[in-house]
Amino acid sequence: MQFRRLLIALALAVSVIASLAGVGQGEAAYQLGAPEKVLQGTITVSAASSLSESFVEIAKEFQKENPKVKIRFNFGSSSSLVAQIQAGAPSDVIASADLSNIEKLIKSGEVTSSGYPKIFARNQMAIAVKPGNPLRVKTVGDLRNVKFLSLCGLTVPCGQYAATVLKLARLNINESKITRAVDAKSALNAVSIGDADASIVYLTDVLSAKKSVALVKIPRALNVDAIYGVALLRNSANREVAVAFINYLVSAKGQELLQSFGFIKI
Amino acid sequence: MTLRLDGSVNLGAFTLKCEIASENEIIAITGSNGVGKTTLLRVLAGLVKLTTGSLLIDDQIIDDAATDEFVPAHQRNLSMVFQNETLLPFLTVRDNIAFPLRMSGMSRSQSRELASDAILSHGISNLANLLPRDLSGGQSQRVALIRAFIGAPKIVLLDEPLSALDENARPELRKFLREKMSKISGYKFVVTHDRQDVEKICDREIRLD
Amino acid sequence: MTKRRPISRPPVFIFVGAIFGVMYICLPLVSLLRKISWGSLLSQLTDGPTLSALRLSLVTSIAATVLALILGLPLAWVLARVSFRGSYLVRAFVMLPMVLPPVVGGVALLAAYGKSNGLIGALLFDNFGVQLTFSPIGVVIAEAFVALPFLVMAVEGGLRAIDSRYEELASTMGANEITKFYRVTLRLLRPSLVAGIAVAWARALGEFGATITFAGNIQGRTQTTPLAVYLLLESDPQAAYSLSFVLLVVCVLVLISMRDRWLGSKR
Repeated sequence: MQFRRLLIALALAVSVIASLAGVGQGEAAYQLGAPEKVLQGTITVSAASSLSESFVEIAKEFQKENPKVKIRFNFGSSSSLVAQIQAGAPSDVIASADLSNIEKLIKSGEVTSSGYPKIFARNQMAIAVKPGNPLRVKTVGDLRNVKFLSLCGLTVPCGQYAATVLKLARLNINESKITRAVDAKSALNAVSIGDADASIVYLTDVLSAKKSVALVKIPRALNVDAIYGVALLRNSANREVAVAFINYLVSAKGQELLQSFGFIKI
Repeated sequence: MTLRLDGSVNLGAFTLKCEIASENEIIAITGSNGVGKTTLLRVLAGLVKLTTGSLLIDDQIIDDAATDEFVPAHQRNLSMVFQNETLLPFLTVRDNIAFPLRMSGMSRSQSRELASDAILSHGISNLANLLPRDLSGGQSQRVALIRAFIGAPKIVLLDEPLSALDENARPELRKFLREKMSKISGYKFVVTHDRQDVEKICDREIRLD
Repeated sequence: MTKRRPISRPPVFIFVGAIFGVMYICLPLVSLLRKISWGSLLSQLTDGPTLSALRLSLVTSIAATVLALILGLPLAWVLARVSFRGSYLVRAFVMLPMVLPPVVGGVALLAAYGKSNGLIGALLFDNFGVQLTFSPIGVVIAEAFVALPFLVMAVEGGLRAIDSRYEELASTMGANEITKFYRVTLRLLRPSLVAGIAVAWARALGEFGATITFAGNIQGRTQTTPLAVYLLLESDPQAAYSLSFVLLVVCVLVLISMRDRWLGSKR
């Protein structure tokens, strides 16, 4: 008697879970042959963490123009996002802080190469220090006097860009003075709330955190061009909305918004 | 040589008032359940402090409520057998018996030897290496009684010492207790419900009510 | 004294539930084993950065457990045996690191011991030049922070469960306070103490969020094994699996050694 009750309970539970899992899949709906397609549904955008602030703004504007659309973000380091997607994480769009990560996805088949990646932003590196710049860091070379430097891991785009900056400045900093973060935001946090003395991250990140860190610019000669690329993922459940979002990014409106956060014209 | 207890203990649930004077004799403490017999033993043992009055042994203040003088249990040269929890659960029978000797400073080997002697003379060699959890209630109590007399206690406190044993096992142990306690020059108290215990072991009876 | 006979035939649905419970845990662990390339296991583990991560984890987790013992034993004693107003509040606060997200714990540690604007940390740095962050000491602090509640909980529970009559018995047999503590209390406490130490150590070993936030991720100095695994996942997944395997084996070994003998009465 008890066993049967348990089976019924289990069946109910399974069906509830199944229906919940069904929610959240982007549903594309359009009328065949109709002149105007109303965009609706939800898409998931996997974006580099340095895009957190700007993309949230862009999503707001995009959703204003398309009220039936909902955009969900998954922020992280570009390399970890790629790993997730390769492991089967459901996503519609990938926006990466470099092009090589998108190349990885083209190689492994999650992105079809036709027309992608689309370059949508450029970024530069900058140095973040404690407010007031107590250690008087003026150039990249001054970083040799810093006690602890916060950088992204070497497998993360922002970490690779920082390594290039240091190489260009012919600065060799001992690994024992470098604390490696998993993405640009965490690298910056080590300076803003932690005890790291300086960090080399994206200019846009330092600008967003201007309340808690001070900015030291890196001259063009020692700087890198971080080229950001965006691509549609093959397994997107809502191509319509995903493509529309990508196009919005490269449109004039999208570019204006990105530049307001410190990104450079492509 | 006298023990003089004149005071009371307030345990919240009840108050025990008593006046006892004892010389070298074996005293039975009887009375109905809950009247405070065990509490009296605990006062004599130093596990409970007097709320009023005092306890003097050989004219030395052992417990004085007024002046807050108090000699703790481990300094009273006691030997006590509780009604339950008579043995330390993590020691073998032999080590349990040897424990009071160890506490008095004897070496481990010597105390074990004496314990083994006692075990042998009581014919319980088969229990020597067992742990308390492997013993029956009666066996535990026997071991506790052997332990009670291994040292040279001045105060002996027994709480229902034979209650866990069969009727037919008791006479032998009553003789044992009588023998051992008579040899001790000190203060001996036996809480019991058993009239046979009172008659065969003790010199005097104090009835609590 | 009664011994409980184990019930050998549970009702079917309890049995089924238990099977699911076991599988829920075992399936991921077994799947991990499948991913390991056994041939290159040794070379991956003896690689420089990996070895230093392993060594650092070993040293810091043991030190953190010792610290947790030093701070936790007196605390557990007071909580278990001293009745004072607000003891329930104290207990709640001590248990906090157990339920707090580890990164939040790390942020809190920064607020206290960070050299830039930590309550104590700034004082330490300005007056003595001592910086706790980004150092192995910082790792120990972070690990001990999350491990302490587990130790306190186990020991407090163990102390409460001790029958005070055994301690009284020891007193009547001539044991003074110190002897009583060593020979009786600690001995009765041993199963709980051992279990508490094991859990606290395992927690310290696996700590990630508080460590990376407070002590940072400096190879050779503060990059413990969990942090190394996290970074390796992208650059060299195989090495990540190998390292995870080591952690797994260590924990399994410790847990296997926690037999009945140490954890309590045999049935």
